[in-house]
Amino acid sequence: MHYLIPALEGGGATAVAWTGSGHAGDPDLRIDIDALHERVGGKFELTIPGFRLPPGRVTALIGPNGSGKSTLLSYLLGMRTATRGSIRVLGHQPGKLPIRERVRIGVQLQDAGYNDIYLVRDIRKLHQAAYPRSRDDVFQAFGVTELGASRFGSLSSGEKQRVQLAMAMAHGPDLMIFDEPTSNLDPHFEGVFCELLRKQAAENATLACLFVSHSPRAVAVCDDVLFLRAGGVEHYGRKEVVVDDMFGSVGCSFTGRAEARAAVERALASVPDIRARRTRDETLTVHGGEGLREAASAAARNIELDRFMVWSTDASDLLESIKND
Amino acid sequence: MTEVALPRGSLPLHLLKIEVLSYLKHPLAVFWTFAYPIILFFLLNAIFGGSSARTAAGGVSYTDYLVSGLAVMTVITTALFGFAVALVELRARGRLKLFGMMPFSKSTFFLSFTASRVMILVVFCLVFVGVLSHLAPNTHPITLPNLLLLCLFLASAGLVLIGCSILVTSLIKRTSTAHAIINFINIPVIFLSDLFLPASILPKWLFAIVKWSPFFIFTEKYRAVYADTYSLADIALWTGVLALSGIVLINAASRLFTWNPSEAGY
Repeated sequence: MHYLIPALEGGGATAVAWTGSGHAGDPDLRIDIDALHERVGGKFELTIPGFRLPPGRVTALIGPNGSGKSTLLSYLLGMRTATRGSIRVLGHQPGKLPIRERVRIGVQLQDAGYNDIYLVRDIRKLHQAAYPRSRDDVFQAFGVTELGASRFGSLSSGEKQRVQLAMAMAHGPDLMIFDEPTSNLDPHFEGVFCELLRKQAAENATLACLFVSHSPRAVAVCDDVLFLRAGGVEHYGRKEVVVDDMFGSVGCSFTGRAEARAAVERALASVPDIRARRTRDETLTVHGGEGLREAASAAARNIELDRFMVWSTDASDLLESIKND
Repeated sequence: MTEVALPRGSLPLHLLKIEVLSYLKHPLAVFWTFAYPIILFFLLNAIFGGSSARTAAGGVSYTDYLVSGLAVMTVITTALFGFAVALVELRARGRLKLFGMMPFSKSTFFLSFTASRVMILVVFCLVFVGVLSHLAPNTHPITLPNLLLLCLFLASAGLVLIGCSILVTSLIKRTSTAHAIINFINIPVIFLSDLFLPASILPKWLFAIVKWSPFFIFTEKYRAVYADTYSLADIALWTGVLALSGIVLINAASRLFTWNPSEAGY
């Protein structure tokens, strides 16, 4: 089944047509949001015209600080109640998931954890006792087994995050929701998380995942991107389509003196399909279509620059653009 | 891939185990539950128990009066502070949030949480009353059946108090509010329930009110068991009523309880 997401209205947002499986009201949808429009805290409006997460998709929820990412998660997890619009998580109202259905969800949150006095091995046993499946390899991959004798409260923020992630992933859920899963992890465990997510998504066709992230490595694993800005959806669709829509296929940067950068700008003025251009410190960054690659290389050959780079665009460009907001 | 799930029925027992261990590993909790009543006993007994051959309320010596009264006081304080304040604090810090996403009910959690606190209180009662009534001077040594009955009676009252605690926890979200409310309940209860300050010294008008307090009535019944002046039918009835009320209260209050602080209120 194919569908387009509902038209996104207002705010000059660019709607990205996305073709995927599932439709509104489909009970197989892991997440189904329709016409969510909420004023949060009297100063912020969260508007999600439509968002559907079918099985088999991994979606990254990205956007600058204050764009509504965590607020959206709080609606999905029933920590806030929507008064306008509808939200369904695994076919149920958020926060009203029957107990037997909760084996199908795994959650990691930034501001959550376990009793500080609990030993990690007891938390791990809690998982074994609560779920019909409890994969030891997931706990081992996150190095939780070695933390067994430590109290949860004595762990570092990265270790706490590893415990939470193992608890969220070890039962092989159908829906995983993560809030910045790699924010406190070192590069090794960031890699472990990305690899496990990739592996579980490949092994389990019923799995869907939605996660907030600012990590290029984590976003590289996702299939789709939901880009929020100021409470609204700016882009939503397949990652490659969103990247292409925002930046085209080529990115290049020119580092040098102001005159050199001005000369580059003049040289690129005639290149069609330039999508984005910005200058930060002594670096001019330009994104655009395939035609940019040759023109940029030619400009770099003829103009004296300190540094020149050209690349094919990917999720890193999305996250870089948020950083530069 | 290795999978090591435990039998489903093991969840309440595992929660019970980690709650008991976590309580016993909390220095403040251990101090207030086990050390504080002993310190208070020696302090008050040294000050007021000098001529303890004389009888206090209920025909027991002041030392006996103190042993039984401090046991009740500890149960009240532990049930209120060790439960309501601890839960509000855990919730305010997001330490319960993930339980709301796990496949077990609030009742399972509260069953284990309550059982852990009741077990701790029973152990306290056994040790505190059992040891002091035999070793402290001028005491009436309690018999084992009476001691066990005392523990059962105390546990049933603990259920009601824990039910009240969950109710308080359902209505408030801030630790400071929880402290204020619990102190508001706890302080008058401690001073006006004939625990270590004889109610007979209260002004007549105050005593006329206090004697209807459930805490006062409970303390009188408790002391009757301690002094072996009770009627088994009366205590059995009270134990049954208290246990049933506690279970109903815990069940109703846990339905109102939310894992998430933002939904909880003040």
